[in-house]
Amino acid sequence: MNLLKKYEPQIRELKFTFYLIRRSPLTLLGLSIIIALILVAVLASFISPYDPNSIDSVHRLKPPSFRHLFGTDTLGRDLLSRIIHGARISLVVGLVIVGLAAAVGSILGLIAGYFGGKMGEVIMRITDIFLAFPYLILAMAVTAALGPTLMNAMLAMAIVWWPMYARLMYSEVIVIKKMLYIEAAKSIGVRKGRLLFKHILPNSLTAVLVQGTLDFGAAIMYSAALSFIGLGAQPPTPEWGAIISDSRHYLMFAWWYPTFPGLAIFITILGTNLLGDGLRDVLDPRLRRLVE
Amino acid sequence: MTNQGDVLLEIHDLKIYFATYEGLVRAVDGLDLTLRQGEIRGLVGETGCGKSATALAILRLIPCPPGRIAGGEILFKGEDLLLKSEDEMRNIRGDSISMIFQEPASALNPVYKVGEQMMESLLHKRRMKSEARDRVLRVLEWVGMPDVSRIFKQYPYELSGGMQQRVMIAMALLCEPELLIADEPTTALDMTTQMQILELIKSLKEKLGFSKLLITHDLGVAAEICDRISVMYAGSVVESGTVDAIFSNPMHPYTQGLLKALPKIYEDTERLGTIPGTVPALGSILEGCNFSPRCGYRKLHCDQSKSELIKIDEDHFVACCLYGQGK
Amino acid sequence: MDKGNNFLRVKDLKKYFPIQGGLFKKTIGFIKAVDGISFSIDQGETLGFVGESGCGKTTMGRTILRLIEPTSGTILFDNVDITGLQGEALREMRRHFQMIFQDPLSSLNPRMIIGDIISEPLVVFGVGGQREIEDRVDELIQMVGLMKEHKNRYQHELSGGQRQRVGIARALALNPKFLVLDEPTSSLDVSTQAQILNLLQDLQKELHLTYLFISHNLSVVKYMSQRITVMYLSKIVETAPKVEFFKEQFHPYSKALCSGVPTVDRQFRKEKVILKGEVPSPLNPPSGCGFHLRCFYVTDQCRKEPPGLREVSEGHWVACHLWKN
Repeated sequence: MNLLKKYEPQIRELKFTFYLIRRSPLTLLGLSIIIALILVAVLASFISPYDPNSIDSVHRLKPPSFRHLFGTDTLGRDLLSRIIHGARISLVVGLVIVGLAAAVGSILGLIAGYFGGKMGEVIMRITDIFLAFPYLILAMAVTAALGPTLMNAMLAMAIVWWPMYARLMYSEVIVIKKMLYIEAAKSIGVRKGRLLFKHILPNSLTAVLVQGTLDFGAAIMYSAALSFIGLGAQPPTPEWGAIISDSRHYLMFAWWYPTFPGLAIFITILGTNLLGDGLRDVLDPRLRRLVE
Repeated sequence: MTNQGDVLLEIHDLKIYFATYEGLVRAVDGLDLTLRQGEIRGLVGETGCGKSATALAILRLIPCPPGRIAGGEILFKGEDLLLKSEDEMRNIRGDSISMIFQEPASALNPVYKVGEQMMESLLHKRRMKSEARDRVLRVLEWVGMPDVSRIFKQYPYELSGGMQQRVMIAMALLCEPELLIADEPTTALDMTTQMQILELIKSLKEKLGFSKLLITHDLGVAAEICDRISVMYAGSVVESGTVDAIFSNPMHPYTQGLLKALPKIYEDTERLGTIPGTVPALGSILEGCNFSPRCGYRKLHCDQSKSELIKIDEDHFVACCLYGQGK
Repeated sequence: MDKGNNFLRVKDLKKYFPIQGGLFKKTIGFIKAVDGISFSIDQGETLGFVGESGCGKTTMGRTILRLIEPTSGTILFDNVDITGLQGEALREMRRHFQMIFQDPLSSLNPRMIIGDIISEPLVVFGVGGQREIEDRVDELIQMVGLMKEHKNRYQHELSGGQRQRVGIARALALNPKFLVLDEPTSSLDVSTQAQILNLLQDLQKELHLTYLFISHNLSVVKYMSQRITVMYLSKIVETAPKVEFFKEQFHPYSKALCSGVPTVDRQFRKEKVILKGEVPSPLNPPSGCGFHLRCFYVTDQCRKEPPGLREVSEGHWVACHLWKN
């Protein structure tokens, strides 16, 4: 009970956020998709009708039927089960990549934005260099250098993605630094450390959250792309991109094979985009106040 | 055609409600207002009293949803604006009724030159380009701009706050509106610039004879240039009359409280009078008078029913049951 | 030496902002935001600073509190020279002088609850344990007229007046002796303004505070201050005790300002002095007297020579060539 009272203001804010989300059908749709994804991923073992790796050479490349709702792949494995387990992989992939990139990038951006000076310049020029390259090419190069496994692909993508967050955080910090409440904090004697973590950081997290949501979907897509060309998940991992890669030779006569994993990717990205866009509006302090 | 002294704008029992997170907000709840040809009527009130909503409603600029006009009528030259179609309203806006906003900097488009922006509204009415240009230059002169041909070619950010506000006024006057609505036109300006703009408005009224609805929270400004004033509280008018009547003989307890709370430069006030309590939250609905929780003269009757505007004098109305029974 | 006299003394304070330009970001000029300001305030007194936007009064307020580094000049607080203090020494002094900001909406951290905002100064200076801090916050809340339930709210859940009370509570947390109030009621309604001004007066009497009250609203400044100072374009143009000032203003700018205050009572309305032109930009100040371009009494000397402050009558100083003792 005490806990509830302690977090009462935060709970109030959360309730209001949900109210705003409810008012926007598209955002609600996005949120629903993501929640569905998470549920599918967590409950994969329970809801999957077959073992994703159980080979059945008799029923190879069967079209969708009651036994196999999404059909089977070239080794007779049930496609639905594989896609369900693929959701688990995608969830982890998205979280790890975005989590790492956001964490590293935000801290560097925070330092660069607040302290400025030579260190800030150096950090921002490094981000410039990274951002000058096409993302996928760079990610491919790093993955190839590290060795083609899913782990390395995730690491590579995080390495190539952090500059985006550094830049995002930098621009947020630059704006927040000039706000009146920062000056007020200085006037009551707040030191640099507390200023950074208690005042500047919490106010800049919204942008990171919104970007992270959008990037979650993108990360899954890039990871699928890397798996597609063989640099990411290796067989028999049921990663969505890998499944599509397997299906390359059978496009002509097994339409279900690439379609369903493709749909899974499409719906996931649709969900993150809708949710991310909606969150951007919902969390914008000015728009919130307007509604209040 | 209306003559001086005729009623130009009449608002009866206007109700504007908004659907918000906390529930229904009655921004305007039964507003009555009259504006005559050739006069400046002030709509005075504090934050949240509904004055800006009223102004937007006249031009049908209230976003619906979440807002909606729940009742009443707005008669402009005898026709109800609330019943007009969007196309008809579009013709009226900027033409017969014009509006000036509070922050001139954000009302002017920063990527277009001043002259271009001003000509745009004229060109829509199918005037020739050269004719439009001449008119713009002439109106800029009317508002006292030095060197109008240079201003014509400048961008808004190159002008100072006072000049931007003059441009706004000029834009509003381009099509010779009969009614000008000004929402806090001088709040964002310096004191000396404010004086200049107020003088300008006064002199323009003499010269061009338009009528004006001035929305402000600044009692002093209202007293300086308005002919008549309506005092608003929590969504309706509590007192209305000529400037002299209201400020030398305020009848409603709220008006009295406001005047006591105002620091005056010609008086040596020991202590400012305060109105106990705070402005009611935007959602609260009371059976009776909205002001009674804070009123020093509160009686049982006040909490039971709202008071209508009662005529005290030829041109002085109060909505307070102290002066007679309401409905 | 009287106790409390000249509690705050400012001598020839200057704040110039360098303008950088060119390819190599060289300093090509200065914006003289504050150009040689001197004044003093006695303990328990309120000095009112009036001026329009761009005159430098806000910069001056911030510079006095060392939120901005002064370019030159001296700031003496209770006879301690705080002009050059740095680091921890400066931080320690901050307990004694605080600021109340103009816009309560942006001067309170939107992501902190009110209770934390008010207790922050106490936490930062390590004043007591959690119990003591909580008690002090409750005490402050009561002092400024808020209620206990406000402690658990965010600033956007409060009204404008309530937010400003939070700002006041925060400023008073460490028991300062001196407050700079930068347009504390400019964003408030008339009735809320009255409540806040009365509160500020009560607190001043109760806690024996010294105020530097900055505002563009002459009526408010008159109500709050014992002494009035008028600023124009980074300099003081007139300063006098309140009664003297409002009896008669000597500087043409002050005259125009006072005449232009919109008055509610028609019988007190004076002949308005409408100035021509606009406030000049501090980037391009006029030569000689900063006001000469708009002055009705301008002479040749005004165009060439900036006038110094001269005492024209008891305690009444003016910077204008028209007044030569």
